[in-house]
Amino acid sequence: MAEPWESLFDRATAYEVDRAAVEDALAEVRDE
Amino acid sequence: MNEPSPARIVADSDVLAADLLVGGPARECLDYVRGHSWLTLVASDPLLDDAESVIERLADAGLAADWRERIEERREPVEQPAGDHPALASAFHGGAMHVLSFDGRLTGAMGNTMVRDRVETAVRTPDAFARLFDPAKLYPEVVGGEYPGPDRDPRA
Repeated sequence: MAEPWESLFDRATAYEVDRAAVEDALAEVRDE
Repeated sequence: MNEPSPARIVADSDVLAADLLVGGPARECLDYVRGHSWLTLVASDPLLDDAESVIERLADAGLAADWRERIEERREPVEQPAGDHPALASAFHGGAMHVLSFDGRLTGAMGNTMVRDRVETAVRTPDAFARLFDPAKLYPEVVGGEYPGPDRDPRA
């Protein structure tokens, strides 16, 4: 059984990521 | 190839990663999908690979792997040709009429025109999709009868 979404979201909050960082990271991933 | 359906949705890798890492409109949109068993999240392996890489870069490999395990249970896999844009290819081969992306090249007028030449779909930002999407209006068309509300816990 995979981990519940709520638990994954709780873990993710520790990283304080914003949307711009996500867009930049995806641009880097797709450029490689 | 699947018949196009308004109940079949693609979230680009940035939206999938933002659902987990940021919240906001991306999570609002994915909550729709998680909360309704009759909505289908279509995703190719390259689409999930890109999102997993973003999560690994911005968070950690453990969270990325656990996210992948969870999303695999919800997505409907679709094959795509190597080199095609993962979100557009997932929509084209998976019959998705909605694509969610933060990429302005896809969501702008020119991007949508290019996409519609190939796929019967609309590309929107999560903000726009969250404003426009109404499962109560779609339910009679897709399932039939009166909309009963969400039938699953979107956070389970």
